[in-house]
Amino acid sequence: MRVVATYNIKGGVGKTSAAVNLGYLAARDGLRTLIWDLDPQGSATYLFRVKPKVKGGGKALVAGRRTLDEAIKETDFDRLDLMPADFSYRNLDLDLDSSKRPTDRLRRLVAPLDDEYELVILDCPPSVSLVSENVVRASHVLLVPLIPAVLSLRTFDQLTEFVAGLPGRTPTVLAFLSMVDRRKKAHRDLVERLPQEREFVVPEAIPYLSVVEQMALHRAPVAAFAPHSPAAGAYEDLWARVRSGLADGR
Amino acid sequence: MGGPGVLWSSPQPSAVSAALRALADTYTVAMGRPAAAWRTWLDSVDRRLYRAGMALTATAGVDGGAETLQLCGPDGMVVTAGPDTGGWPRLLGGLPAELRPRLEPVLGVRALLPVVRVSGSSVSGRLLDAEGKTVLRLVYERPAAIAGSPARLPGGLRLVPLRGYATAAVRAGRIVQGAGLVRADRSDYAAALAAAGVDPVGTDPPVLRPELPADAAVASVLLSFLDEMDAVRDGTIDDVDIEFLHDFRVAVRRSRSVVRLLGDLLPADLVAWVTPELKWLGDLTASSRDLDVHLEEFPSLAAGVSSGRPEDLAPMAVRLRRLRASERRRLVRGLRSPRYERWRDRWRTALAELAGRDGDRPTVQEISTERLAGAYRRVLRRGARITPASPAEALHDLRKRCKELRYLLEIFAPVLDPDGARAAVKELKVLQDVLGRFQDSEAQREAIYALAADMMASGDAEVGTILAMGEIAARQQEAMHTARAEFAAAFASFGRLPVGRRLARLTPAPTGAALPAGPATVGAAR
Repeated sequence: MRVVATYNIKGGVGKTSAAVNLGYLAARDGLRTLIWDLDPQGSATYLFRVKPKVKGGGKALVAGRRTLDEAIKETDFDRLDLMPADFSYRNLDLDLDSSKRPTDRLRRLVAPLDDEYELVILDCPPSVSLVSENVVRASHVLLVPLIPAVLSLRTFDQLTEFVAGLPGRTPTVLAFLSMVDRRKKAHRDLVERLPQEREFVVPEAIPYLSVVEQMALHRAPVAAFAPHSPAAGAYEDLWARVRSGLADGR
Repeated sequence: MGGPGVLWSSPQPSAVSAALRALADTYTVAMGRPAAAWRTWLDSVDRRLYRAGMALTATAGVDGGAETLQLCGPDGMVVTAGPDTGGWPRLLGGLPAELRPRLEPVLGVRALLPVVRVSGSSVSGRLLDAEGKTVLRLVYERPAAIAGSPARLPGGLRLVPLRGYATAAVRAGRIVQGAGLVRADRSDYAAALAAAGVDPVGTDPPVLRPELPADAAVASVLLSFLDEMDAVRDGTIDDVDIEFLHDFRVAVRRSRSVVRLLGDLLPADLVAWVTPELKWLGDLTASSRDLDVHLEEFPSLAAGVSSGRPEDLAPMAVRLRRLRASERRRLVRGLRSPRYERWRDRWRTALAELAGRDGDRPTVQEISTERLAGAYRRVLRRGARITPASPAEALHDLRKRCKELRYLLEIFAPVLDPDGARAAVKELKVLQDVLGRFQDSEAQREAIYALAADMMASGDAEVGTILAMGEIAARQQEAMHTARAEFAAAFASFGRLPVGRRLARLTPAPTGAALPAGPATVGAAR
């Protein structure tokens, strides 16, 4: 089982869209896949039409009174399951802080699913917190959406420093440009330049297109309701990159 | 036409429509378009998957083409693989990788064959909650035509639960029940077998019926063995899997034992004719079976070589396969020969005539004690004669006598006390295991020597190959010594009871008391 986290300190950069589409494509390609919506806003949960409710909330999970296995829901797509969000996840930092080995709890919660899933995707809330540290420890790949802006790059640098500064095994960081508006020269330049200048940035980029926003109307991944759209093609390319990264053991 | 979930059905054709309407009162029911398909249930010839509570199906469109394989297990496990174009029959090694780990412990060396094939149409659908989320999958299965049979596989409405939505599954079950559907009380595979008229577990092992005249009963048992040979002959010729030949050989061996031990009840001229014919069949099949066993064990033998590399043994595998191909040609020629056909026809006709004979002759019940006593006595006498200096042939001969005794215990089962018979077989098995290991390792060692000599003579073997073969032969030699060392204790344990007390345990009290005199006890073998 490999664990990929879509993560960024900033919000609204395309983490959930990436998690939902990559999860869908992985399952379509035959991988038994679980998406865990860790964001109390529950956007991924909403997109899969699942109720954002986990019995006992995050506290029961962290305390070991409940397991993920009890709360997982099958989505409408073969081989793709969802661990729903719960509003109580807003207190996950506090719950983790009061547990034993607070930075390793998430990894230990996911570990028993090893036989059942080949891929787990963690859709993370935007923050730098104990939850983030748990996510980093639990993941093999940290997938970071970057919006094409200078400030976004500065945040990314903070993130890579944060990861590098953590003790023990750290995940591979893969960043991709998200919400790229091809009409803007600055965006086009960054798409051209960044993968060459930054070691962790991959050339695959997700365009800023209305079809991505329509996910909320269709309540389904772009790759499911508009499989031939440019946005779906971009997610296909990104999935191919992530998949080869996972296969290389990165 | 089968799959995960639970099938609900009714003899009333309109009941499924009524159930769908009832479901629509609570949920949104989204049904797709009808799709026609062929579905084939696959299993080994001895129904190993059925016995293990598993079902493997291959589904393809009506125009044929690639199949989707689905394996369902008793624990609710469902594994899907495909598209698959491998065709059937097929051995484990030729199956998709995702199925192999689940099937290997159950299937072993047996091939998968089509057991029941049906064609029909179904409509897939979903139950949606207020959010438009699927909470249950539905399959409306129409009655399906069974290939080669006028019967039909009944249809119904299949409810397939989704993880995390157990409540919806329970609720939907109640709704369809209220609409007149009844939950299936057996698996889809069991239903398909029943509809096709296929006996899922096969016939009971042949036994001698106690009330019959002994000669008629013996003929009847021999007929059953001949039926077994007929049932596996084509699979043996087609080399479907190695167990077909094994089963054929077992039926031949049992026939030979029965003729040897009870042949005096049959016409003397018949016995004089059939004895060499059965020996011919034994000889015809022996080498092929030995080579099957060598090749089956080859990977583990090669993996255990420490003095060289496993690939040093590759020429040995090539030679074994070549020999097997040659032996199989001889075997197939024999089984297709006019001699075989003549033998089978004459043997069947003679046995059928004897089995139908009536008259006032000793019954099975009356002869059983005496025959079992004779078989026991032979084992005990021959075993007691074996010393550390006895040649290997003495142990091989004892093994044959043990097998004969075992066959008698099996076919006389109806006149024996079940607990006593079980205990007797268990005790005998311990001795047979030791003798089997001794003979098998000796046969392997001798075969490797012969193979090595042959390969050296033809220049087909490098030094590394011969050295690696030598290591395997040495390991077989060691296994022989170990089994030989265990023999004395195993036989001492087996021989601790006199024949009379053994039979008293096996049969009701009066028969044990009327035993012919025999050796009072058998001393521990040295």
